[in-house]
Amino acid sequence: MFFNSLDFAVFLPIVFILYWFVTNRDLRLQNALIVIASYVFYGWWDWRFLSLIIFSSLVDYTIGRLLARENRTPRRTLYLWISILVNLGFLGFFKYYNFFIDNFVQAFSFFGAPIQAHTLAIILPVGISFYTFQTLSYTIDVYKKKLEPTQDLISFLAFVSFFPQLVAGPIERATHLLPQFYKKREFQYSKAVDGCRQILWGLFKKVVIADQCAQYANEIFNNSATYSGSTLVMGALFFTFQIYGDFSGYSDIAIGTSRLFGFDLKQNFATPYFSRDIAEFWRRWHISLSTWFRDYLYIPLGGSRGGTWMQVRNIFIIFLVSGFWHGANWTFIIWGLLNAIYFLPLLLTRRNRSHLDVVARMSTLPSLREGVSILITFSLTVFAWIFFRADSLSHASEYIEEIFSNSLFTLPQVRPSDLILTVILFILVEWLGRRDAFAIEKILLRRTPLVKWATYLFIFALILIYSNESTQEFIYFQF
Amino acid sequence: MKHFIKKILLFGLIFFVIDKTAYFVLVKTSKLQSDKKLEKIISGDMNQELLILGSSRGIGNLIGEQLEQETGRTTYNLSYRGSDITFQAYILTTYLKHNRAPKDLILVIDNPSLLAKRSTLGFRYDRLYPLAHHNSINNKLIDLGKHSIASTIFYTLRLHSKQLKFNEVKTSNDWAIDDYGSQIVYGRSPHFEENRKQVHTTYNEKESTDKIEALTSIQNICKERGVRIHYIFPPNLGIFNTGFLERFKKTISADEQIVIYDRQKPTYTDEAYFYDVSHLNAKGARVFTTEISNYLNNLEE
Repeated sequence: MFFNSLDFAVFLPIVFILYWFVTNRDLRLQNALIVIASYVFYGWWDWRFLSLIIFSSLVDYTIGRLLARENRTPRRTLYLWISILVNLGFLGFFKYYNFFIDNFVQAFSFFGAPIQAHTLAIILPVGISFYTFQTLSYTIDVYKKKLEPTQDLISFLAFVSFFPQLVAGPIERATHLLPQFYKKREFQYSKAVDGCRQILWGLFKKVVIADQCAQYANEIFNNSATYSGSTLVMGALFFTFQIYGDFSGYSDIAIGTSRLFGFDLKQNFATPYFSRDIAEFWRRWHISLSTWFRDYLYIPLGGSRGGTWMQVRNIFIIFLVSGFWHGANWTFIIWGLLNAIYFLPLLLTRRNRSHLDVVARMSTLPSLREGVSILITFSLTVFAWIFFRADSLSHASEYIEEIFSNSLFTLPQVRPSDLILTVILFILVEWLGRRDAFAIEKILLRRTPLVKWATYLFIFALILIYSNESTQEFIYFQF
Repeated sequence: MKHFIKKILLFGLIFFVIDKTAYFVLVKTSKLQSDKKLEKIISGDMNQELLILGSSRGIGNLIGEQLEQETGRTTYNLSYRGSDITFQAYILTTYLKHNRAPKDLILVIDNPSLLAKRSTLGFRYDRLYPLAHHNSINNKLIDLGKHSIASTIFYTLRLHSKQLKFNEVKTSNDWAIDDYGSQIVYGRSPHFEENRKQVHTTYNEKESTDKIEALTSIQNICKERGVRIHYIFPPNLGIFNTGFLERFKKTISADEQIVIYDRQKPTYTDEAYFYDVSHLNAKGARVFTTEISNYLNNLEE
């Protein structure tokens, strides 16, 4: 079920009441409720895929138990590889089977030896890329002895299937989330209110910003051959805000919902579009995925140690895998490659950790230099998003070619003034809240209750009104 | 915990009260629509003897006022640009719910896309949205999946963002809808030649069951209410899809009338009478309207 649906609006209060009023005296029962609620939540899309997540959970739970009893390295390595192969095997089959078959066939045809191969009508289970990585983090951390394997099956199932973050992250580490299932959760008023605020802001980003931008992004990208270069730039900008509003909105709702149940999830977005370079962008965008790749792929490959060529190799591997993680299309791979090219100069000149704090922390506005850096980084990101959104490489190529034609200097054919104004106001609010976990976390704290409540009611009304416009699925559900 | 739940309930209660102001926004914005057909239908003020139902070929090709003058029967054109047969069935059903049944219904047939699955015509939800403060209209939007079921309680969920601007909503093109519901077009389309290439003579369309059912429902409701249907095939410039005509004949009963425009008339091969290949301009509409008036008058004799 979608977060911005009536189904979820009914589901959440029911689970909340059962959680805090019925099962709160017994931790095991409370965790069991999380499991049941999460399976209901997940099965709402397609109950058939429940078997997949349950099987994956049981495999990794068992692997964890086996690792606990086994000290011999070869055997431990074997168990780890079983976990990796099972998890990545499912992911590979559901997500990449047809991609490899199609490219295999094309390669053979290219060399003059056409072959017949059958693609399958495979439905991608929602969230498989997320929960697979989440369970892998468990087995890898247990293998490395960073984490004691759990003996509590219910807690483990709850950790894997925890409904707020199950289908689109944040990808939580077992070391961070699993221990929270071992402890009794106490209801904290301030945490719950903060959670509600974050849910509200997340819904605003999704429904008011992302879905409205999506209508124009889809219109322009789907009919790009009929639009001028300047309009195509607008399309790329609309998509830029669509994907941010959509994905960070979902994360906000996930984190906020978790807080209602006494759980803390890690921040997944930290105003990435205000980054001053690409390295900072990747410390602020989809933080849970980029840190996952850093810890479980980049560092084991050698990270920044070793010679220049090893560093270059590792960077390309990370970004190409990251691109590939997003989908079985060459466009995602090129998107990853572009980001690697953006990142490399910073790494090689040791400037990839220049900006660790938020921009203009102690001032209202950025400096001129910071402003220019932000614009350049933003432009590079928007350019890369074209590949992310395009249907194919040829589509992306034609799109870009038209942008850099004379028609770039004409008035855009699509310029919805209301939406543009809304996005500008949104950017302003995000800027004002850039130091916080989410934009409206603290902006209104010093205002009177009347102002606060009026603002929350206004945002809530906007969410309801805009929910009547064309509804878009969360982009990251397709991953 | 108690404090939290009280706050949430208080928020909900305050919102519930404020939400009612959305009703007044809906009422206010409904008055800003230049196309007030549906509102007139719901108000029960129509009670015409002769109705015209169709898409752009209905609203532009038949002049309601002229038909009324030439046949002596009160006439109203209920056609909507871009509407398909499912929407036309809805309009007719709604009309008959609130108004006395007419004696005759002219159903203008979109040849050959009337029953086609893929068509540029569709259900005109945009005509319903401004009237969503009426529960019957909102219930229809809920049935069609356009509004949430929660909109039965929250008026905010019936609002659309465009309504917040309180702008007068004109028709989507430059021609006004007259007091008889017709929208006469003038001039010549800039895409005249492009559209000419799209006319075919054979019928190979995949059909929509919803559209077939809609046509059947129009026929059934007219039978129940004693309304005589006249299926009118309006003029196309030069080419007529006979394949679809044969298909259409299978959907009607023997006592129902199909009226095809006089294909021998030089008017209908003269571009000067057309806005584009399948729509008459004002000059052409006057000629065609007279043809239909004569047909109706001959029936009475």
